[in-house]
Amino acid sequence: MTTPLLDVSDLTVRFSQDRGKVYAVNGVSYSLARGETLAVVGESGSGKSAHVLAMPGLLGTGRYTGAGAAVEVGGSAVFAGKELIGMPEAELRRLRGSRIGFVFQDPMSSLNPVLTVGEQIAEAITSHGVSPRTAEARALDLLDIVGIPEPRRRARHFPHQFSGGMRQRAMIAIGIACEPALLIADEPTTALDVLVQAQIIDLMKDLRRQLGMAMIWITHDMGVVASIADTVQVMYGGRIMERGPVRAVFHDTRSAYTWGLLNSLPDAEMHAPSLAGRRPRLRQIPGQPPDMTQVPVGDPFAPRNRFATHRCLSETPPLQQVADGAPGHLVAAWYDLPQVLRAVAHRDASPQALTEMGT
Amino acid sequence: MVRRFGARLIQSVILLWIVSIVGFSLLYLTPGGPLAMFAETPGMTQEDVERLERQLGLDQPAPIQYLRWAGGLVVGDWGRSYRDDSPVLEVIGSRIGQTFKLMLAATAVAMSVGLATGILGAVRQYGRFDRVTTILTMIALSIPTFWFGLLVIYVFSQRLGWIPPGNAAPVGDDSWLSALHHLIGPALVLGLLSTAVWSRYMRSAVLETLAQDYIRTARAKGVLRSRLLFHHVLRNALLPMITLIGLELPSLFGGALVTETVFTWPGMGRLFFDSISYRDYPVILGMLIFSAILVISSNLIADTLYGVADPRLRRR
Repeated sequence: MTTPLLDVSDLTVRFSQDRGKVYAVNGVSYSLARGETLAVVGESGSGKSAHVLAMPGLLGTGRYTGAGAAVEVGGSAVFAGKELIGMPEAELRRLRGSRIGFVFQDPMSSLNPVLTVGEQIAEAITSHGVSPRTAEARALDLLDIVGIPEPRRRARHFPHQFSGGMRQRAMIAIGIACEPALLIADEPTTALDVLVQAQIIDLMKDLRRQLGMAMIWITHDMGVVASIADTVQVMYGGRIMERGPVRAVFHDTRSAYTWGLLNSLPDAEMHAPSLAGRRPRLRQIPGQPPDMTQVPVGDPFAPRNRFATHRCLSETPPLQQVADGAPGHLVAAWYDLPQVLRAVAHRDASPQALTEMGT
Repeated sequence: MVRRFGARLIQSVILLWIVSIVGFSLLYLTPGGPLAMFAETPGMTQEDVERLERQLGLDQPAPIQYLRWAGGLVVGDWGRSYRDDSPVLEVIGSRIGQTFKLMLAATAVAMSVGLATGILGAVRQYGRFDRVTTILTMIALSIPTFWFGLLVIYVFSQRLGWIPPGNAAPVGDDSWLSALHHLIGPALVLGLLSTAVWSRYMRSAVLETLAQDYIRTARAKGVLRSRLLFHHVLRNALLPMITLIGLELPSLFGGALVTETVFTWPGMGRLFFDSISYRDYPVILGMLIFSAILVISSNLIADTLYGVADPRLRRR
């Protein structure tokens, strides 16, 4: 096996606040191969963005960040043979934008309102030792590559003169400007409407193929995961709950949290008026996300999990290969989900009751 | 852009008209009237006072008096001083240079020191420098101008002898060095409050900008720290400072009146003080209109500058 592009082990992120600490990421380990696309899913506060942004030093460790909270990052993250955690800011800066590209969620607030789009793209190139003249020409090429018509004219425009989809295309142009080996996309389609989302996903797929880059795609949209990712990683309470090939995780779900997430998706059927004139309720996961200011104990999802055992509350389950599952399909659970579900189905012998287990 | 400016200009003229009515009415309603001081003058008879009233048009009904005065304003005849019969515009014109000089010096101090400390404080929020400047600006904001003026005169002039205790450079001495020497004290005093205001505003503007998503984007691109600060942070953080120009100019003008009195500076402040003492109504009204024009036009300038500086407000 060749060396992975990114090798993360036991990564932790803590925010120090006035009132104690926030345990944002609590020991995350995984590796990402060259050209692989990893989707990281989870709800707000699951640590999905925090753990990815912490590695390249974008979580307020550097100065000029304005973040009031101090950030402590622990563990290890080796990118292309270099340890990122503890790397001096000057060295991290050289990696960011050149070897690691970024696309952020809201392209309106993520682009500088007082600089032209062309300037902002060119800057990603000049920051890595390319002359302004070359960078300007390259910026026009990039606008063309990401599908913005009339690049020469559009480059002189400001972000507010672009539509939402166009702005995200410009943001992508910035992300891929130096043809990075890894593109980190933090919910790049969340702020866009559905049709534009699909266009942006297609564009990213094309670019991934052309540039052969690996991607970490942070999202909470399972539909997006299915359409773009090789591997999916479900996070909760700053931990990986389940991880594996998309097909395995979706069709042979082993974590109660993943199962809850998948069950809470509305489908087209639900929106069609049923014969009785009544629509089925959206199945949500009961309870509240965990309080991240407490020192984590046990399985973080246990308090909201109907299938949780006493062991789940007191002992943290390790992330392990699913015994009878696909290779690379890992889960952190003390219970055996398929077995639990079979038992419940057997007892109630009614599919309706099973659905309600998830509500 | 041009249309916007035109609309604001019309608004400004209407506002100025309202100010003139309010100002005139307030002064008209003030008990005593311009000739009150003659009532106690020995040798002035009631007939003399009435003759004066007729001469000055003060026997006319208020609206007629207003229209005469306002009509004069429009054509550039702001009336004549009761004190020495010289035209009001000339009286103001002879003093305004000194006041502007003082305001300019104070603004230079306030903007350079204020902006620099604000930026440094924000970049290292809660650092030692930030904490010290926060305390100092709080002190500066709470010190009354006249008291600080007296303190400066006492310490730097009386005790240390570094600066003259007051007045502009004496007549005949028109070297710029002497002018500057006389300017230091009052400029410092007048600039202190503004410095603190600029510093606080700049600090919070920089902090707000630093927290924006586009700053993270710039860092994600690997932009150099210096470029990040000057190109991304300051360009955005300085935009709201334009509004502050509109707010600070009038308050600086007000502060100048006090500072000039403390330092016996021959500017508008002393003119205002003297005119009120002499009940020199035309000059008082003239200064009122003049300061109204200053306030309104500084806001107009700030708005226009904003439109030029912020691409989101630019019309193509």
